[in-house]
Amino acid sequence: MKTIHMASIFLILFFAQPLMAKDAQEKPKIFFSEQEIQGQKKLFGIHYTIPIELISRAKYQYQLAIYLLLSGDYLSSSQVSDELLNSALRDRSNLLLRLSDNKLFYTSRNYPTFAADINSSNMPDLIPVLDVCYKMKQYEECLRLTKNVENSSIARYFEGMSLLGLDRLEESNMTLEKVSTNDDLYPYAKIALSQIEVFKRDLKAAKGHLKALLAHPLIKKNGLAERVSLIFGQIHFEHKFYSKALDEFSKISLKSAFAKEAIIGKIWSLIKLGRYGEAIQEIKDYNLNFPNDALDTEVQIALGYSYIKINMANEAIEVFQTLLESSANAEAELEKIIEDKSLRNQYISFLMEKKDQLLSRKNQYYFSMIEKDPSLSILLEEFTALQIFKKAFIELERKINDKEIYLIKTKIGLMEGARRIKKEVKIFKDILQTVEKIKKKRRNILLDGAESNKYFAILENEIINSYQETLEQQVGKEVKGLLRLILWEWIDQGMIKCQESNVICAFMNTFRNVHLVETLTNVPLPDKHRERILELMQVLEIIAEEIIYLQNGKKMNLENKFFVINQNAEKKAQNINETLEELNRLKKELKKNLAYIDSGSKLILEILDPRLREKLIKIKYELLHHKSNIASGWNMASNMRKKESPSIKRK
Amino acid sequence: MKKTIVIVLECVFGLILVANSVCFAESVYSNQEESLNELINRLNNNYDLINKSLKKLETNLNNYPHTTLTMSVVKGDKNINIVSIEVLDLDYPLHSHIYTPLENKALESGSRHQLFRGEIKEGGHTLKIIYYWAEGGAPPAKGEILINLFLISSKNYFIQLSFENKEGKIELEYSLLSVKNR
Repeated sequence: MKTIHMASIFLILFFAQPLMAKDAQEKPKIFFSEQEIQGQKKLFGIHYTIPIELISRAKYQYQLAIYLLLSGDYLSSSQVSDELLNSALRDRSNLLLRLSDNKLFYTSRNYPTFAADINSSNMPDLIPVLDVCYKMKQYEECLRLTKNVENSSIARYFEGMSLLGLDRLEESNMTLEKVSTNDDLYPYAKIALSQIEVFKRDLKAAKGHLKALLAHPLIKKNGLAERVSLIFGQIHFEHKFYSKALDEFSKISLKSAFAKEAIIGKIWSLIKLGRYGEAIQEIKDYNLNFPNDALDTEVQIALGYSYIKINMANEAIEVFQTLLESSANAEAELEKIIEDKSLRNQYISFLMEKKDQLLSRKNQYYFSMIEKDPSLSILLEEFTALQIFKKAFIELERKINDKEIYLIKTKIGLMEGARRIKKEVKIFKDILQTVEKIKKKRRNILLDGAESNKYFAILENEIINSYQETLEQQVGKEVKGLLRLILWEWIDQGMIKCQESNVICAFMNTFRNVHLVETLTNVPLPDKHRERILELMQVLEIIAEEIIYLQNGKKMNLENKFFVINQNAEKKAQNINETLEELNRLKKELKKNLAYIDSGSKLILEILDPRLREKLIKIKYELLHHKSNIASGWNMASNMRKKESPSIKRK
Repeated sequence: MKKTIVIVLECVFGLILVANSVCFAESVYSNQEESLNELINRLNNNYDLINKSLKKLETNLNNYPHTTLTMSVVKGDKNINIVSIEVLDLDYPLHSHIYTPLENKALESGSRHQLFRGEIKEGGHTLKIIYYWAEGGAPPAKGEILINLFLISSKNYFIQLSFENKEGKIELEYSLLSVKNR
């Protein structure tokens, strides 16, 4: 097996060009044909039992892109998806590309990945793209994409919603009105239409849309009824119809996604209706975990005032006291962070690494407020994106360095290989020419006497050695024996042609007769014997052919082959030089980009601290605003208690 | 920078002392953010350009005898967790990968993980795949398969490894993928 492989060294290593040309003429194929496999089995005794499956390149790449996206390598998934945009999977790849880019650039936002549906054949192609664009507030892009969709209600819905997102209320209104009543998105369009009317302060028209919607059969689906009730409640509240608002808020279940908004709506409706006792009960049932957010603090303040309204001074004091203590602690804590840069740096590093769990519970609260602040979160996202790019550029740099080393080594190997072959071809030719010269001059002498035999044996060895070196192949004693026969015949008869040399012709004809070779290689012989036969035939064919060329005054096969090798080697060395230059240019580009990343990261770090301090001061002022309300409530409750019991003062 | 912050505070809380300075700080921030946004977009474009240039160079260099082996992993049985896969060419380690829960989940969605891609010497190869997998709370189990290949120069070989449940027994199946441009 090794013999065959090494003997075809010229074909495999140095004659890529003819091979490539041959490949190009043939139908493109990546694996062995069945015939090839069978051929390989026969020749090499390797048993191919591996099943072969067909897959389109687009599908293969698409599957890779999904894996990269779902496993968090968004930059790579973006790259692979981008390459697929001209494939049959264009729309799906477009979706993957957008998801990848959005995950890459907006790291802190929770965008959908469609993990479950992404491979489903039922997944519509362009609609999820619209959905993603809309969710990501890319309204202009969404509008552009809807133009590519046929006249569909879904496209009109997203078009209308995008226009709404862009505050183009009239256009949005007109577009959403086009959504067909039979469409699944019709109720959502109606809700959006009612929202438009709310924005325009036409609450009557808003109610009209919602009332029309209540009669629609789809309203019972996907919690739509509760969403409608919430909007209805809010509209009634705005109209100061508190009782109706309360009714609508009460329709929303505690398990609903809108439960919190509904309960707060209920609480404020009850307070506005003067039903303080019920409001208090509602707040207690809600069991708010203070402090949660500014809205919850306001609910707690409302609780205190409700107690005052029903003359429960002690309970009111208790609520306000707790609020005062919490806000005083929070204020002191905030003050500390505002003044201490090292504490802020701690926050910044936690924000960057998203390690809020290392903070105390109270600080986690500030952490979440800080993290949600758009001016900070955008900076953090940008910082994360820069770090992702830094990693990616460093990886590219590593690839380029590897490629450079590989190319330099290949170039050296190529040139050295060409030089070595040139030298060895010359030696081989010299030896064969020497035989030819000796034959002409000293034929008679060579054929007589022991000295001549000895001299001939030396020549024979030289030919064999040279052959072995040129082809990097060892030949066995059978080859040597047969070569001797050829040389004797050559010298004896002066010519080597098939019609005159029975020995050579027999072997050459055998080798060229594929059927015979197959028969020979299939005879029940041990593998090594079969290989030996092939080796003999190959070696003899090469040497015999070269001798014939020499006799005819033509260039040897090896010389012609070397000419092509040399030409190819020079061409490839030139190609390598050009590639190395291009790689060098890319490396310079990479370095420039890495420098941009470093300056960008530095800039973010410079902006982050003042931005964080600014946010903390803002939180502190919000707290102070609440604190004044809490203090007023506490004073009112205390005065009330004083009036009720003079002993309070003493206490 | 300190002066800037003071002005920002004044903007936020309405304690404006010098009316003309009101938007100065915000505009500084805004410009910086715009430049950062532009920088990220530029980096994205540059990365894309460099990556494409590199791929183009690689394609040009494919005139050399170029034999590549690509191995990818899919999950036929979605109930198992792949712990790790190690690929050896005879005894020479070619590549290994430890799978995270996220990567396992990604494979469950029908996606494909490209485990290895590299140039490989033509001729005979015996690839040994050592893999660990776990099911439920059970400790990881080990499996091993051998793949005999004879690679011809200038060809690209794609091997797919798939975790399958064969009558209750987890097996790693392998096949040669013929990846067609269509």
